[in-house]
Amino acid sequence: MSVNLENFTVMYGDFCAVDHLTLKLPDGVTGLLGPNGAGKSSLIKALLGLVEYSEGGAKIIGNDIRTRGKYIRQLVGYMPEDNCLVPGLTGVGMVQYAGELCGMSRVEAMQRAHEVLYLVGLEEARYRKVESFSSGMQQRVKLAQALVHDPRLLFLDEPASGMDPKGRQEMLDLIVDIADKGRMSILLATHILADVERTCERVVIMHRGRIVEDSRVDEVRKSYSNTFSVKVKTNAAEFYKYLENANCAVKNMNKDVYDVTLPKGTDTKLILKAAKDTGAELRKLVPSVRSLEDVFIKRILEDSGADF
Amino acid sequence: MPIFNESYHTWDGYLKERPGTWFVIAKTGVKLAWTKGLIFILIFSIIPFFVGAVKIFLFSKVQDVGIMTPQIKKIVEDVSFFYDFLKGQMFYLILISIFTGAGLIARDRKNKSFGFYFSKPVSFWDYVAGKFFITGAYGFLVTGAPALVLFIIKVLISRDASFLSNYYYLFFSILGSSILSVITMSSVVLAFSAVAQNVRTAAIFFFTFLILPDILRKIFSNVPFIGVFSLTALLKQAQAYIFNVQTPYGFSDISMITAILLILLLSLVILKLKVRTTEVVS
Repeated sequence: MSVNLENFTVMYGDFCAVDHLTLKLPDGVTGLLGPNGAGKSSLIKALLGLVEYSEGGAKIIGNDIRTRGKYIRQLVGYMPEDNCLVPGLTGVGMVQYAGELCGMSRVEAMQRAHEVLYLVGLEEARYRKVESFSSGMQQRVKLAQALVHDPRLLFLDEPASGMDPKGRQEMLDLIVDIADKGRMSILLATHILADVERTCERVVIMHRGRIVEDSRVDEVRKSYSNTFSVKVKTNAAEFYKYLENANCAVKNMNKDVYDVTLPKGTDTKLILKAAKDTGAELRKLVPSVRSLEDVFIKRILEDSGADF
Repeated sequence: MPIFNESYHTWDGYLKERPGTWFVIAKTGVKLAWTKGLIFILIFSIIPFFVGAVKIFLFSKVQDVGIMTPQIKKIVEDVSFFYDFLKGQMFYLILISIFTGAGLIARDRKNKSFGFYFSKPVSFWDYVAGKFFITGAYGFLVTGAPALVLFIIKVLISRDASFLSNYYYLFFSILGSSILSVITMSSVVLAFSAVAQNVRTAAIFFFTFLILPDILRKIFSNVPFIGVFSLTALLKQAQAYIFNVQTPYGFSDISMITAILLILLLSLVILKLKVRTTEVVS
């Protein structure tokens, strides 16, 4: 278990950024998904001790963050969303510095710095000052400084932000490669769903500091495979009543559009039969969820109590 | 066939739980501060050292010839020679403090580098000690180090061991007075660096803090107590106290000690408030 949260709460004054989270994250790559302000960065910062948490507790790789904070920060790599580079240092100097601060010897940190800079594609620019780097290069050097000591757990906060499409692609490929070849668990915080779909085995969706979804990415999609978006023109009330009586979950999403979740062992034939039996004119019958994005929007809207 | 592939490689080394993370910060900072401007200041600061060395050499020759007059003796009078030297080096200490210290924390604040440091196993004390060492090391290089070398030259050039046996305590006076000046100056400049968002503002704050009370002290020269508000006056008074020579200002030693301690305490409080290991989100 890489991260274990128990009633974990982060407050900024009266505002609750992380709301009593209880969560167990297994090893592997987990996507922490949520809109801006959902509490993703606050959660990561609180786990690292960069933000004070107000309630509950957390363990990272079996170590209590209250008592073993310094040791945890040695085990963890953190790629922050902010720039947070040390001006005046070269790319290789910056990564070496990070390695030494984590407890590597000078020589080992230097060797490893060259290695990870090569990995992130900065081998040509490694002797340039970090302040002269483009935003994409700064993202890469931030990843390199997080990887230099080969952490057991890697926190990536919006790793592909500010990168061009090619750079973004490379960054995501790199994350997949690190997850495959390395022995570290990764927690990837982002609001870009495609990044999570591409890289993560597991997804935790956060909204307003709460968890609204926590499961494997494939399971999330599967769980919605029996839900259909339905719109009928006439006899709608009888039609939906018929479906409810047939143990379907019916939920009004937007005006005339309803989400119908079919019971196990049934398929769309049940909806067609309902339409036929009630005389309803079926105008729309499509799978409700086609991608993680749909799940995300659905979950966020459900949590907001808004109409779909 | 490629020499090696680009895939991720694990690292099988051992991470030390270092108690001296501050030293990594200090070492890197000392290297980063080594710029043309700093070298320029260091070259200028060495001129008084050479002048002092020549004085010591000539003094020993005059002694050999036996034409010592009270006027000559006054120039290289053993205690006040080192006291005057350190008093003169205060100017370079101020320059070095501004040059190396003003940007140390201000730059980190501006670039949001606290997140970089404090997401690693670095504590507040590691960070502050590391930054402090950077200014302190260069400060000592223009105060204590040349003064101690002059002391050693003086010992070596003496015909017998009488100088060492009579004035051995000067070694500790030099060390004590320069360490006190360096610590105080570094603390203040770091506090200003922590308050400011950029190097220039920190430097202006620090310079104003040094100059303004001095101007006031000169305007109100009939009120000796006003000197306790001047950092340079306090440090010169402290140096005189340590060297056991005539104190230059009219305020008491207790006032001087209290004022220096208060300045150090205030600097620490400012550092503690501004160098946040945890973010404050309002």
